[in-house]
Amino acid sequence: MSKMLTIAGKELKTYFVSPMAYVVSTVYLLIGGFFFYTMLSYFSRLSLQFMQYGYQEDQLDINEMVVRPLYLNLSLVMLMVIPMITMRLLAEERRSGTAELLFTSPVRPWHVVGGKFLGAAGLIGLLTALTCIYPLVLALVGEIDPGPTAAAAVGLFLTGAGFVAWGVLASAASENQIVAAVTSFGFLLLLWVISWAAAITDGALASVLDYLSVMSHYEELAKGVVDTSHLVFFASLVFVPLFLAAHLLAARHGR
Amino acid sequence: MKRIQHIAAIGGVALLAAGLVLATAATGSESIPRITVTAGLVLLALWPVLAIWRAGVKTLATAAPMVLGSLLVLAIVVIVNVGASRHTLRWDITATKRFTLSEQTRQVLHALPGSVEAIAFTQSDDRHTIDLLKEYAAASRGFSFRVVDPDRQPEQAQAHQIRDYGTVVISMAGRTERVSAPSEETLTSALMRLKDDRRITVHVLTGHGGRSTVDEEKTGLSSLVEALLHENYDVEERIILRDGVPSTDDLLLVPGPMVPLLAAELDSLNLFLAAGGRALLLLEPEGPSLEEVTLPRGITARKDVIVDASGVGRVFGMSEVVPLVAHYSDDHPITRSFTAASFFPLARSLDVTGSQEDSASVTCIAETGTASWAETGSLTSGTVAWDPHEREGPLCVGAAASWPCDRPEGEVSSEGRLVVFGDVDFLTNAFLTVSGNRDLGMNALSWLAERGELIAIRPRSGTGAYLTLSADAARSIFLLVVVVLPGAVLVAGIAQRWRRR
Repeated sequence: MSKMLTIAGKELKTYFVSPMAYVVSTVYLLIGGFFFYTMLSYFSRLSLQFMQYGYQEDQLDINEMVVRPLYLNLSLVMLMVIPMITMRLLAEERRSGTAELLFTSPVRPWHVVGGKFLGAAGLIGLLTALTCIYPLVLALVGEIDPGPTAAAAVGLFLTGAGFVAWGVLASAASENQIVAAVTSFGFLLLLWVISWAAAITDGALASVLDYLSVMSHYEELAKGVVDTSHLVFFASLVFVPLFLAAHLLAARHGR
Repeated sequence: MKRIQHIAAIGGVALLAAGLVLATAATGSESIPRITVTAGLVLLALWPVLAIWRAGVKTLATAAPMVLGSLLVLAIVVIVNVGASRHTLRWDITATKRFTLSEQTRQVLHALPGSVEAIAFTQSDDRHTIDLLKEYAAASRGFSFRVVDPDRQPEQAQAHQIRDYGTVVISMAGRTERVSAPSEETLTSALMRLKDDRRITVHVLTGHGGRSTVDEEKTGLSSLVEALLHENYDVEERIILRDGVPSTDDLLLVPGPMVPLLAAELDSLNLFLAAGGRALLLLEPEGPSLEEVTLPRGITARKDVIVDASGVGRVFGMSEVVPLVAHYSDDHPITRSFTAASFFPLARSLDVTGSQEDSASVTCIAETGTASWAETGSLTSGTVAWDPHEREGPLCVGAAASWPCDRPEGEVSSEGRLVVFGDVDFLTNAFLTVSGNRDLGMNALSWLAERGELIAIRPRSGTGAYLTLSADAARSIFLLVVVVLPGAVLVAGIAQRWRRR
């Protein structure tokens, strides 16, 4: 575990030594801030109209109309930035030849894969923590439901962690960073929109496709419904690609 | 080999993206997007195989343990996920428990005799309906649902005769129910109606110049008959003098008679109702008022025509003699939670006078607006205007009465029931599908038949609070989240680069 954490720490540090973490975080927060501001402005305008026309205020729900769509949008932005974060994780080691060096040291493929994953997931955790400023602002100017808000933030991190794991696999399978990024993006997009295909199919296939969709699970968390099946899904979303990546590295380096 | 691997990856992603775009663009062909997506998936699946091949696993002997080991672990993951999806623990952590179904709904779902499929004809951003159906599906393994976008799959919408977005069609064992304004209350009521497998016949009184059930013209009732058959009723025409009154297990529909009923027919009708019979009377201004039947149950149909001068009807392309009804009784099961407006062309007003003989409980269930009045003069000569002797709105246009009787308590309660509307046109072919007309008529019949009687479930909402931002507050928030926060991260990055140099 300590070897894994050492690799994770080194990886996280690398992000902050290079411009990568700063550029990705800036873009992410800029887009997130824009979404938050437009949604909040719309809600404020709607509140004003409701007050003017005497509609009941219980029809307005800031969690449903701002927090939930905001976090869903943030997860979509994450889908786009994570391939950029993960593309160099293992592909760069292979391209620069440091992979052989890494695997001749007393570390197992699991340590490498786990460490790389934890490092990138740490960056995602930091990004998620930064986005907590939005609900904090909402709590200052209005009234939010803390339960679903916390679930949406935790869900965002779990979704991001799952995306990172698939990014690690893509990076492990290629020494070309661009190919790793494009493949990773394709997989993540597929995991996101697979529920669309569920809508045009019937029966068991529709259920399977819907279950495989990250969006289906995250939407539930973001609305404030915690289901054990969602937690198992997110755990599998992380475990499966990391397991495959570790196997791939083990095969490649004879470990 | 390396090049092939790259082509597999990029080509797979490109084909997948193209397939999804084609699928969502509704090109009319389902096979082209399917082939494109499948080709994309095959290429993407080829990519890890090539990666493993290039990693040096080129013989069966070296590949077998690795592949088998991987498959075993993946199989365990699949089994764990299947188990987790079938046996779930679920927590609604919202403050108002807005995603928790009521105990009543849970009991109905628990007692479902077969599997139920719901089709929501709505768009994927209709969170209210989809969230609700998800809770039903999570609460019962026998309940499944799918969402059909009527724009993208018009053939399915047409097959179910869908006219409004948001309609949910629920089916079980060949029976279907439709809900046009989905809420927990209406969905659970529909489930209760589905579970009710009694064959109830609606006997339509004929022979008095009323509307015909086979007439497909605008003034006919053929669409109503179609809707009744859709909702698992049987429909028969009936002449009381020849066939007698129906069984009290069935319903009698009197569709705007224009010729007065004979005394013997009125007596039979009264006996039928006194014995616990159920009837829906649709009375036209020009037709008989049937007060021999209605008055003892506390309802009087007046000799007038309702005129609505509010102009609201004009928004919907209706004239002043088509009053709009948007005020319904919250206390009566027929109209509780009913919000859709309904239109009553050339309707007469009703009086809810209180029962005379049968100690009936009477409720006016639908009223016109305050800008309406009961015109007693001619509509064709002179100017139609309110006169001081004419009654002003709101005017009752629909009333329901129930009274105790000797009928033995069984699947239905021991009471007789009567619903009277001062109009038949609102259920004719021309107006049935206008706004809430159909639902109002069907709700009335469901109440008469005690079929999945509309139950009362309090709608749950969120925290519900206004939030209005002043211009200064909005500006400060914009600066904080769009300028300061991303800017601070960017400055930290530049500082880091500077320091390293």
